Amino acid sequence: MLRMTSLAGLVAVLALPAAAAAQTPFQPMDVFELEFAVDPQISPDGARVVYVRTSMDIMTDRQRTELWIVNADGSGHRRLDTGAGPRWSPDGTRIAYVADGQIRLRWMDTGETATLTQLLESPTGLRWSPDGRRIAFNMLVPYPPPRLVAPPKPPPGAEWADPPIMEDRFKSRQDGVGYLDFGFHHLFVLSVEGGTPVQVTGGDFQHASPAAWTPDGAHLVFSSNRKEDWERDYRNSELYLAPVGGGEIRALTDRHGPDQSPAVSPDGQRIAFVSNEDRLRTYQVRRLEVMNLDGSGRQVITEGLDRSVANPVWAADGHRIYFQYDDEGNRKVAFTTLDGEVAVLGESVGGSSYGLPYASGSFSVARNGAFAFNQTRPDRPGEVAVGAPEAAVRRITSLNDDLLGQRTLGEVEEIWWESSADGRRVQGWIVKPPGFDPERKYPFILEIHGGPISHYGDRFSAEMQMFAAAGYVVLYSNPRGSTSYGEEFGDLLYHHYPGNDYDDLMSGVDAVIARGYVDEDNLFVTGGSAGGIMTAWIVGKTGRFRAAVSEKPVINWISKTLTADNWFNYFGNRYEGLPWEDPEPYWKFSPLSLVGNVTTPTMVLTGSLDLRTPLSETYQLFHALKFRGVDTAVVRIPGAYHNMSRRPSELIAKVANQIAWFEKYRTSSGN
Amino acid sequence: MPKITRVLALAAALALPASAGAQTPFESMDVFQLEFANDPQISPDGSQVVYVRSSMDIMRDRVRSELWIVNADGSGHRRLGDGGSPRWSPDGTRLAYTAGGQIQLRWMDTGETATLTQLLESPSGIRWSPDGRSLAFNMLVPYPAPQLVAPPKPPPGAEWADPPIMEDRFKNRQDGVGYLDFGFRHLFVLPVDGGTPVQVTSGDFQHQSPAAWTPDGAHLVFSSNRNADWERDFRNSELYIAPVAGGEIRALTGRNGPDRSPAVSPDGQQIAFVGYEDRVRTYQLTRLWLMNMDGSGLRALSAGLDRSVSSPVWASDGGGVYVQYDDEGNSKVGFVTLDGEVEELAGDLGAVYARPYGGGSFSVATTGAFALNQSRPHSPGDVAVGTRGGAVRQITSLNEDLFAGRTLGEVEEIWWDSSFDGHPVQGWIVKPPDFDPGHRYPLILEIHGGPISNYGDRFSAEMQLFATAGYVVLYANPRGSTSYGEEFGDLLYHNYPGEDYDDLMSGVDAMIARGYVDEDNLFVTGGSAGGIMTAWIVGKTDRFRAAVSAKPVVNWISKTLTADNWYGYYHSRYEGLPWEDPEPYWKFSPLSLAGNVTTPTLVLTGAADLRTPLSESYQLFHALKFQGVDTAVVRLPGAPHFMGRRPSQLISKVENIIAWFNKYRTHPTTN
Repeated sequence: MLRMTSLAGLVAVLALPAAAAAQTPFQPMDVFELEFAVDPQISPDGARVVYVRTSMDIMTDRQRTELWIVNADGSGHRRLDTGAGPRWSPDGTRIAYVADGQIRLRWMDTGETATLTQLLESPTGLRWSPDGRRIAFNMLVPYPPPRLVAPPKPPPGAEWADPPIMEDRFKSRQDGVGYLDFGFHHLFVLSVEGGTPVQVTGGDFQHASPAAWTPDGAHLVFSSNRKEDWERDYRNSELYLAPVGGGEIRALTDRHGPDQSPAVSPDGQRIAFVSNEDRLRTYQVRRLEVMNLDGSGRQVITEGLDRSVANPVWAADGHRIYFQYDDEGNRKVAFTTLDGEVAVLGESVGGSSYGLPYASGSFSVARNGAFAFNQTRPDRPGEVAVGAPEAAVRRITSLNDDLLGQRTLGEVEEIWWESSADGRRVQGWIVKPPGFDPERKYPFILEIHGGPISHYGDRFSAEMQMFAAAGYVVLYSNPRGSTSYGEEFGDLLYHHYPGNDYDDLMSGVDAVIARGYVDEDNLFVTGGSAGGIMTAWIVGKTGRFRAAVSEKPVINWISKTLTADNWFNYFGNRYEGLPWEDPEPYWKFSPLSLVGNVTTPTMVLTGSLDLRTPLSETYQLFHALKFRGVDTAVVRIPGAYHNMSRRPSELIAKVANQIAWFEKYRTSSGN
Repeated sequence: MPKITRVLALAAALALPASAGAQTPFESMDVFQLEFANDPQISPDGSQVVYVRSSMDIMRDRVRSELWIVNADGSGHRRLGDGGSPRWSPDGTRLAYTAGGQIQLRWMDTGETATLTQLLESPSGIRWSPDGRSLAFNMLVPYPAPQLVAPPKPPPGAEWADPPIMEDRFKNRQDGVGYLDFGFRHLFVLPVDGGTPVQVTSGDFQHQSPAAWTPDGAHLVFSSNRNADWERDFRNSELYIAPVAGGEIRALTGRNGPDRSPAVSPDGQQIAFVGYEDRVRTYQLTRLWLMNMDGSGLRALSAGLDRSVSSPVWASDGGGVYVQYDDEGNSKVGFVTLDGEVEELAGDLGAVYARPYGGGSFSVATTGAFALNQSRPHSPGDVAVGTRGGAVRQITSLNEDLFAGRTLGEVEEIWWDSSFDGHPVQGWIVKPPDFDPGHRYPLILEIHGGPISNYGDRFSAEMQLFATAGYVVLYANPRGSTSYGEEFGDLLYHNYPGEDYDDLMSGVDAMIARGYVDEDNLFVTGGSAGGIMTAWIVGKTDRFRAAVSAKPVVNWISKTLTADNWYGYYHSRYEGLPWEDPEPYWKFSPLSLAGNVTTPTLVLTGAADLRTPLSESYQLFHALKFQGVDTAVVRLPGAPHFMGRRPSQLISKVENIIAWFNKYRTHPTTN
């Protein structure tokens, strides 16, 4: 039988070494006290910032989102309403936002509000017209679900089984949502005086991205794929121009590959956007481009920046474009001249990924060039910060001072090492238990990020802090395939994943051991998604870890690429060919192919509703290990999708189970 | 968009040719009118039969079970009450049965009843002690679900996510049940005068098969696997003897392979049981064995019968053993003398309503009279009685009311030689009501599941509904089917799907040769193994105009690691283990042929299916979708592997199959 551990007791025993101060380390239940700022929107005059303040509701076990406002100097911090997606009117007198599934307007001088719509579906992507009289938004237009035949009709009052459900779409499910409603997203325009929205786009195509207005208010520019074969042509999108008053929708681009995030220049002559030509690779850098409004004169602006860019915003004078990009595990706000001269304006953008130190965060720009963004550091979840091209960046909120003032967090230290595979430099971060003593030997957790085309960084992470509070030294890192190091590094996993990212990680473990404070007999490994895949791969390649927790892994690339919500997204670019033509390129990178080697006790932990790495993958690993007689178990998180931190109790329970599995196998020789 | 078809209108148009009388064909909603007899129990004196009358509750959309009694001459047919599993006391004065999750007793002279127990778990396998004073039964003894760490504790009144669920068992799910409760099933003995059950078995082993009493009432003989490695030793079971009063449990058998269904001879000297020595094959005959009470003197009694036998019951004079077995698609009650002579006593054993699978059971009176349920192509299941050497008489007519007003499709037996090796193959043709051999009809090839099972000359609502819709149906028993002997059933060993494909194609050819099948309108469907073969067929030939693969396996690597019976395939069905060499699993996966498919193929599966999980269906759907083949998935919400548990779902299943075929059927008016 498994040993029962009370986590609270465990933390108390392990995380308060002799050297600790009177303050307590980060506690599991502290997750409910965390708050962070999302979607900061600076007013057109740069004087104020409206943002979404996210906190945890301990009664509903969910994240609560409210609109708050703060002056650019940090004063006047107050709550406005519940809601999300706030956007200032061009004259700064009003904000539009979404609350209770409707578009709501607030007059900022008096605080009066009006609900402008009575929509059947939730609006997204609110965008003010330049004259402040209309709002463009995206919304689903449902169509009746397909069915072959009407179901039999029950007598009145009968309790029959639900009728059959037919599915005929290429993409039919979405992790975090479930089975998708049948319908097409379209662009609408609504008069701010209230009234009925007018549908701008037509056709059986998806228009799910926000539109950009032309300065004259006559057209919307947006990204979509309006080709006949759009379902199967899913890697491609184009920019289109649609007259708001109705008329022909014209494609402005035609290159194969994504063309996204259009922003129209203040003079209405040009469009900035992000794009790459699709060469069917695992990772391709998206660059900032500019073209004329008719689609002519395409020009790459950030050719010299070997990083993917996002979210282009024109400066009011039309001479520069603001954007964001990730560099060595840190998200930046920057702007560029049209000649491609890039200057960094703000760093450490992020804060909405509070569980693990993934990239997140966004910025907005005022007419005077001032900007706001959310900012995170290893000891601080997301806060609001403001800056201007010539001024220093200032953090203007302190949402977590109340909690963190009473806690000693684990220190986070950057580390670089060279991979044993080819000497490539790899970046990582060490998290140390509070009260860390370099003379002692600590048990060690290698925590591996998902993606694998993504990255961790120097950001707050409740999960890392809980591992540290439990007495473990943690290494998290960005092996090859991680973003923010350029196209070549991110694409090294092309047709070769899991590949030498394994060596990068093992070298990282060696590098931390070389520091002298890690107990080599108590190495543990965990990670979620691609991190769970790599965990399962690692226990198939080495016996050096004492126990492992593979979270939400893919075990079998043949079944994963035909069952996940994004099933279609791997053929050719991640793996060679199609599984039914030749399974070998899929099989040889499947952790299941190594399961005959595993001796490490390995737990698998997955959300029951996960559609990205479905539970059927988890059970393949569990059952294979069970058949082989390896110590194993599955822990299912009921109701959780791929992201297990949507409900705070799930995040707490997840980490508690990881730690308890490690504690079960940890020997007492260390610490 | 898919064409919507009203099946009722359709059926009316197609199935009422000019020659029809006042009678109507079998309609979808008639499924709710079907009734059938289960578990017939003849009284010790042979004068009465108690049975479970199953009918459809149109308000709850479920099968309703009631106990009914009928005299052996067919008179005195009346309802006793709700309940299941009736068992006569040895003196015939009382009846024990289960109702409301408890054991009930009924005094047959006055009809008084008593609830004997207050159990927390449902009892099963009730067996009277020879003196009529005790009842043995099986019941789950739960243990606390495993947990690594206590979940965080919510404040009073909070609505948190459900806590994590841990799983560490080899077998942990069961189709039709879901995730299994944590516990071990044990044997109990209960005084019939009421009181507290006494647990007879102990240990962390499963005891789920009913026990047999020794004539002195001192011991129970039962089948279990009490070896230390019982979870992984799942193909094996032994017979054990346990003192009812407590004491050592002793194994009576020791060979590798199943030993089960013990019956103790009236003189208490011998045990008859069924089993085989496991050679790890796809199909091995289960034979009748005899041994002394101490396990010595083991000998095969049915060595001369090349059929699997089950349910041994001793004749009261000890002169032989009643058994049941399937022979060429027909289930029989037989009598085996102690010399191994097998005498057929009755045929047509069965009680089915959805598809013509085997089933049914029998019981034997002290007088040697026996009762059974019988199914014929036009009769779902009625009670029949017989005696050794006498005639068998059907004594109920549960569906006479319905069928008096219906013209059913005629069912005709057909044999053909397989093109592969000339092996004769048996099948049945179902013809539309008022069939005209001068017409040309569209053909449905309907393939059974298993594949180690059989169809036969039994009632089938699904086949009748296909016939009503104007289709000629062929259903058949290709190689791998049971009831034709060990060699035929084992031809799929390490070769499935194999030449069962050729057997079926030869059957279609044989039908075409009869001249009344429209070769341009061939359709194929089947469930489970039939769905596998359907998916295999569309990968091998385009002769079918459309296909419906119900609940298929398309990838043996994922199936054998995700299904409730995941472990049941290694070595016996496929060579080796998938993680050692995927090739033997891949080359028999329909997915490997997905690149060839051009036939429009619908996949239809219960959303709660654990035997052939929905993840298999989506692999086929997505592969065909990517290939641009016409395809869709239809999910039946809440349905397990058997989709007929709720009548409305059986109707929906058949109507969707017909609608898919009608969508692709050409010249719909030429019939």
